Amino acid sequence: MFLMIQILIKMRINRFLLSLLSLISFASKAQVTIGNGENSLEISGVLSTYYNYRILENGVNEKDKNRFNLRDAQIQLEGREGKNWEYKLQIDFADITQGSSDPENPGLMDAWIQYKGLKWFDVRIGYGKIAWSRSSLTPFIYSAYWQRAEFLRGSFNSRRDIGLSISKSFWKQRASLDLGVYTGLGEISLKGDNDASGALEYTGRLTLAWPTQFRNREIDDRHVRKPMIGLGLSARYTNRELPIGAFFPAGAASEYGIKVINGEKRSIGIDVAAQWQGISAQFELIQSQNSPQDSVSSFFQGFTSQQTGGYFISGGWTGQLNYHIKPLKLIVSGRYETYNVNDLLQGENERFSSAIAYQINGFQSMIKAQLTHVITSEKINAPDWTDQFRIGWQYQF
Amino acid sequence: MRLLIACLFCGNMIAQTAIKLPVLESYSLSISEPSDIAVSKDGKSLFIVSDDGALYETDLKGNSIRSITIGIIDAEAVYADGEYVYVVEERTRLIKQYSIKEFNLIRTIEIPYQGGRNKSFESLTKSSENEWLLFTERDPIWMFQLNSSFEIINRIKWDVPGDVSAATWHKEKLWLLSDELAEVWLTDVKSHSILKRFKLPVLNPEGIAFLPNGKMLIVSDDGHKLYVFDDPNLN
Repeated sequence: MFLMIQILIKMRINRFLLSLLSLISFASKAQVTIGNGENSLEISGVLSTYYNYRILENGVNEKDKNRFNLRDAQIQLEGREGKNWEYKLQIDFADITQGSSDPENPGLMDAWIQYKGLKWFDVRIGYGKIAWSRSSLTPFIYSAYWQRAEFLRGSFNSRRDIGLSISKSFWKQRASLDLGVYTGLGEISLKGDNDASGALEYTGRLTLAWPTQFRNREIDDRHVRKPMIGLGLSARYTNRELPIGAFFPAGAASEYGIKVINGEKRSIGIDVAAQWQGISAQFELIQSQNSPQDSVSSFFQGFTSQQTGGYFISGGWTGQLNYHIKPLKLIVSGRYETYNVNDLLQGENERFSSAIAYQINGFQSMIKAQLTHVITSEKINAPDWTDQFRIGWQYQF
Repeated sequence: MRLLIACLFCGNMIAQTAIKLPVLESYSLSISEPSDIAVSKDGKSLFIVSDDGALYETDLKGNSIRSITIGIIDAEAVYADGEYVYVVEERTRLIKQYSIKEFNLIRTIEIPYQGGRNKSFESLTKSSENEWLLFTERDPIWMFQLNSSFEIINRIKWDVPGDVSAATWHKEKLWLLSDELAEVWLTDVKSHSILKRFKLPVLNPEGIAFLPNGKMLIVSDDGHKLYVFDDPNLN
């Protein structure tokens, strides 16, 4: 937090922020629903813009990331037909016009239909979030941050895909089970064809909560008077074997080249969240065992299969602590994360982020600021910056 | 600058301190996601609606006596008089009137409202002047006043923090329940303001009603529980 204040002073942004705050005297309440007594359709959306500022490593001069960015220009259509059918279409025009394939912030966010008329489970088909990772499942607008932990942003494992899933809650909604089968190329699946392996990805997630169901929220803005805890266990599996000479579609392997591999990928995730009287905390761990088909794959960094066992591990963990200061309409938060793209490479990545958010109208209209400091990084994946500061406004209508 | 900061941070704050109410008794409910509660006119049974589209008549401990599938989901409010029980469905903006004797549907009334799908009608009660009071949950909190034919005759905005998840009329006063704040409010309906606040040790309280002896009943949606409190007027 001290570092954040230092940077604020450095950027002389405090005057800008206070001027901006003084202009704001209204709140968003523009969600509308149309219906005919049987069917209903809700129209809503999100707009958000931030200013990004980076402190670069010594010797780096490219300051192209010091800019304003339109993060969200979303429109969301969410409907129900009768008792059993639901559908959702959510599009982010900001990312579509940029041609962005950022898995944390894609152009098409949801396009699915769900049937709730079966006794034992609900069925969903289409494109949307995979039941995997509490952080990924938590809607962006309910966070004080502008960016999720690096290894949960969708570069290690996809956040969205096209497929079929079933879900069921039980034990008075304290427990839920989700099972899914997807194309397996994540957000790139929208481009059409699967890769030449034709393999699919299988996912599962079990959640348990006490004393009641625990929604995917980071902040205890209700200041619950009884401690609440939620536990999530996730797993996913795919085995892709490309024919000789075939390649994955462009972008499928993502930033670190490990999101989709030519081989077997087994991933597990454990997450815990708790909240009480305005204090909330989240912990999340993700580990993937990646077994390339090629025993001399560059992933093995020159180690023999006897030395590696034929696989490498990618993943990380993060812990986050938040406090909602109700009288001041403020959220303050700190987050530590450590991740490893490939355990066969020496070194790990560590980052610390802090965030502060002022709620003009709850999460619907909120000014958010986030500072991320890179503590250490693997040489091969080192960013060219040491600190990144973002400040902006999110508005839900 | 101090004035600016004061203006920014103090909007919608309530001056009164909430009085903490201890739970007298609680009962687990077998009803899925109970979202509101009403007491029968003779005070011998309760009516509870659930998010999964059912209306239950229960004993005073929440044990089901009879139930009916009401064909709608997201039933969020219930009101009972001597002859009828009224159920409000938030998503479709419908009020359904059931005969208590036959436990069957008599008529359906639509109250148009174009606000958010889950920010619509969650509370229905009747004032001592025989006016229906129908509240939207939040963003904004509207109180619709309806005549006995369910025609809208007035609409008043309540500028209070949080939400309104249930309403009931008790001892000539309007009582509101806020799920987000876990508070019960004794209100002045004419000035649409809060007179007293009571804090509940309950997760996700969604329904409020009073027994003839003054004891207050609260149902918890997520907790699937019925709570009994002393009459808050005693505090």
